[in-house]
Amino acid sequence: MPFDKGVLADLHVMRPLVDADAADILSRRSIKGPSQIAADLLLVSCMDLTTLNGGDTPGRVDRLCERALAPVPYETMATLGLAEDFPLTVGGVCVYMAQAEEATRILKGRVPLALVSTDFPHGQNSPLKARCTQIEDAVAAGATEIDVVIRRELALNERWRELYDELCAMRQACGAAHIKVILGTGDLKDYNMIAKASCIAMMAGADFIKTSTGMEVENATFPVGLVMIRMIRWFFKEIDPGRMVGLKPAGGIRTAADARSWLILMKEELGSIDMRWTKPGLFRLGASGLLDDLVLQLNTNAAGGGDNYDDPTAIPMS
Amino acid sequence: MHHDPALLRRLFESFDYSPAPESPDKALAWLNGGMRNFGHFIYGEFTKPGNTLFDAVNPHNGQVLGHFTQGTEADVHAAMEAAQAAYPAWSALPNHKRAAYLYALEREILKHRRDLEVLESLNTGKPFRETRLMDIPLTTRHFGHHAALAAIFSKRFTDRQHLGVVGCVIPWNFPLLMAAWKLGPNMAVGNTVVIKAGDTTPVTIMYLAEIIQRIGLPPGVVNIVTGNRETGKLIVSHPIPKKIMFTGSTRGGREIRLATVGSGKQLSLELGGKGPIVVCSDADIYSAAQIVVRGILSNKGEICCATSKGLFQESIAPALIEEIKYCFSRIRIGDPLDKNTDLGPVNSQAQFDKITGMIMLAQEHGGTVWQALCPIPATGYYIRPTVLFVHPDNPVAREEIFGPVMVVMTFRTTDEAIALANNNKYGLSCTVVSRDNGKALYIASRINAGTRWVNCTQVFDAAAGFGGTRQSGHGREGGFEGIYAVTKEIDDPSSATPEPSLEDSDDAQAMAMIKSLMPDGLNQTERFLVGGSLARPDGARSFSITSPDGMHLGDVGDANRKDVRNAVKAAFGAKGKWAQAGGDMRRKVLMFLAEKMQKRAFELAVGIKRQTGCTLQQAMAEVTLSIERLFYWASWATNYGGTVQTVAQTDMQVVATNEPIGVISILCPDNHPLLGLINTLGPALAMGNTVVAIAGKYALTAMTLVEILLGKDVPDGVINILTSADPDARAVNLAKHSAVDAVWCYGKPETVAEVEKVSVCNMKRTDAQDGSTVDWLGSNGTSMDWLRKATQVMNTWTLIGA
Repeated sequence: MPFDKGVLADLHVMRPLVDADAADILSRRSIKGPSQIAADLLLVSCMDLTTLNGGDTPGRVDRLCERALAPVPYETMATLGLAEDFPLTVGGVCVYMAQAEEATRILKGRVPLALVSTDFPHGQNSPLKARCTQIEDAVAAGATEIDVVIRRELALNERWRELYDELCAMRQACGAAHIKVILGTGDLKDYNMIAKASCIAMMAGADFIKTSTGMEVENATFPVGLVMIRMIRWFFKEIDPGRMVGLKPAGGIRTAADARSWLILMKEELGSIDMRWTKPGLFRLGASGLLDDLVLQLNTNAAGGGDNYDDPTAIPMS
Repeated sequence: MHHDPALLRRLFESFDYSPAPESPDKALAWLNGGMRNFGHFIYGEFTKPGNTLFDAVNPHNGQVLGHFTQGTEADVHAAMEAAQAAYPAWSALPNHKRAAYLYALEREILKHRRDLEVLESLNTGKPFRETRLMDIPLTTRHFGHHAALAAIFSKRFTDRQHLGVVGCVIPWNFPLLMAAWKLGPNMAVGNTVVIKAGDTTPVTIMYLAEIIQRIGLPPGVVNIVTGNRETGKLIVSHPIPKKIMFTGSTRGGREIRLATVGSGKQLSLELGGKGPIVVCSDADIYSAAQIVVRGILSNKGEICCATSKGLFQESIAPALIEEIKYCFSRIRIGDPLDKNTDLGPVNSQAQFDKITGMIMLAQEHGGTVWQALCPIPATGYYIRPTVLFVHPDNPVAREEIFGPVMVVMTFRTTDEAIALANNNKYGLSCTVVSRDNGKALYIASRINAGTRWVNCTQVFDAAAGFGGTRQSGHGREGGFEGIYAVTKEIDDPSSATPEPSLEDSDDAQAMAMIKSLMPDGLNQTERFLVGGSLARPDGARSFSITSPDGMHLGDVGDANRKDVRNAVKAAFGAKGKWAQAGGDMRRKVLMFLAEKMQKRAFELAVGIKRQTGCTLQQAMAEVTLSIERLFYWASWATNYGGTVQTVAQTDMQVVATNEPIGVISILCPDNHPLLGLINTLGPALAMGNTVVAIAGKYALTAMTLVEILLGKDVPDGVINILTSADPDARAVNLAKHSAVDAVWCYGKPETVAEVEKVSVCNMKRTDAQDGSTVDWLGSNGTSMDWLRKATQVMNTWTLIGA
């Protein structure tokens, strides 16, 4: 949709109120019993299994992709009675461009491949044209999802029109591929600014808005997520009625408990409108080690209790 | 382990919450499965269950929780006599003794809070989430805070004294919390109490009675009777009480006023309310809706300060109402013990009938009704969240409904909002939501209400008074004003300040202790406390501590300038966190430290005796006094916040806050090894400063304190302790350090001069005096000057207007 500065003027997010809201919502819900098993399976299916490290090699990416295709051990699924007719993969695999070839070789389109692009993680190393070329290369390499970063400078100095134009260009470069726009909320900090940046990204055609690169000092927090979720809802109802934008929290999500809290926020704030907001089509979690904890929790629950923090049969993430 | 794959598939497709109930089993066991018969609690004993019993019922499923005694005239009289009998001794107790009992109540409730949380939920129908996050924590906070107020009573309220026996009648909506609101202040000042439990909710207060018995509170200080309105009337009309405190309906308050005419009894009446919530057009709709929803659904709306009268600015009203409806429709109604329950049943059939009647009344007068479609259980007194769209002349716009039902009206201008909010026979509370603070404060300040919430709602604390105006009653509970409400002007000022009492100790037992504590065999290694860890002296030197007759008692580290630097770095790093931890947290931490010192009182006393050569009796007296003083200073942590300034400008609100100075270095006086340390650390820490303390001559006592501090209850870096053979030189090092914000120095006269001279580097505040001239045992030691030294006053000006 076209740039509309008026939309930004309507935003009045106040940090202490949102902090209280997020704490309040999370204090009201508890995922236990069968819900916990279902939630953990759902969260597995929403994971963007990620490795973005200097030490990534084809070997590591190979292992990562194999796990993406069969994230929960067969025995666990069998104990739960879900061995048959319950295809479960993660939501996507997210790697650097250099590992795209190895990833596509293993995944063969069975799990979407996401590549980070546009001078990830800071977006500051080349002009817009070059960053758009990176996107085109990523799509050519087989990515169906592109995680782009915004130049935080444009948000911090409220140069919204420029940010909008850059994101429109990136959106165009993506072609048919989905675009996830990383706001770098840990750099923006101010909630009202995060709300505005969310709106600009959605106006420019983002399929997902994503909290963080995972490289900021402050990772995705629940109140920040709530701000973005409420913008998604507002956009759906008022700004571009009917258009559903997804959320991808990323960075620092390591435990099943944290991931379940994200699910609660999505269900409470968006799920009452449409449950698709709790599915991989509109909800992704960017993480790697999280899968280990989800599997650990599933194993524990499948066995009917008995905490196990040192399972020698568990396959480690790295 | 059997799993239901079909259910898992269904939940995977359309995620929802499985039941997550808190188990009532242990709480029900205490109630003997509902078979238990209760009497009253009078003069420290449970009386036999009476002839007329009534049931306490779980409003969720009708289950009988227990049988309680209808209080008779004889019961009330016995309770009054008991309170009268206990009054002389209780009111004559030293402040710290009453404080210790209140502190014990706080701790004991904390230890058993889960039972209380479950019982309160079972009996009232309010969600377990609320009893866990609100009722019980606020209850302990009230007892803890009033322990603090008891400890500082004579110092802070120099011209006030206890009243006598106080009669209290409390409602059914916050059974335990209301008991705490009544008991805390009365016990703190020396009154004794007869309290009647809420008509339908007597369960938790009887659990409290057991706790009261267990902590050994003198019999008769707190007497509890159960029963209905008739029992309440007997309390009100009884000749003994000097004061009646009532929380309940406006009708009941009116009856009490009439019943006590000419009796000379003081009254505190906390009655009904119709709390307006004003939402301005600049508010964030999402957060504003959450505030509205929290405000009306908290305690199922069965709370006198609920945000039951919505006043929304016309331009945002449609969007805001839509968002409120969205929030309401997500509300989960059902079993209060389920952790996913937002809304439980209203308390009784009578309540249910009254609320549904009010909804009908609204319609009869032209109002329209919207109710959320959330599913509700087949049985139980459940009412869905309800919005009534009415005109200001509809009777429900001004009458209290007392349920999850709010009325909504719109306004155009702030003046109109204020007028509509004040079109109200009540005046208990109001809430204002706006992004413009000046506007919000302007509106709030012009609404006639005892509690005004800006951008928040339903928040309470023992340090802030609560109470209303107009037909919401009068009198305040909590805060300093709550103490004035349960005291009177003093008759004889000289009787106000009891002298610190010295504990007797068994000398023979003490000598045995000394023997067992003598170092025999293994060498002792003493180290500094820096940043929460033990640190060896950088200079790798120790010095000897000897007894007055020259006996070697032990070696302690000799700090040099580098040790000083490390300690300051640790204190500097901890100062933000400690200041922001909040007064109540600091109070708890320091009181807990006092507990631990008490556990090692003998060891501390023996150390003092050996180092100074005093008698064990004297040493024990110093230890006891030090523990009292630490408790005393901790008590100020939430009671020295600041003031509101009455400036000439009428459009300004000026709030003066007492804020910590930062890092304070302390050269401890060496005339009292422990008291000198505690009495300087106490005020500095209570007010939120971090400390580097230097001990010299009697450093072994400081080392015992270090061992206690290693329990890590005080956050790392908040207290740093160094020992030095030349403590005065280290004090000068500290005075020169630019990260030290204030220096307290009680050393030699020449050190005092040097410290003052070098402190100019960053213009630090100094309190330097010859330590031997300070009367630590007497009034110097409890002077409020210590609080002024430990804080600085900051004035914040806010322009208020709309």
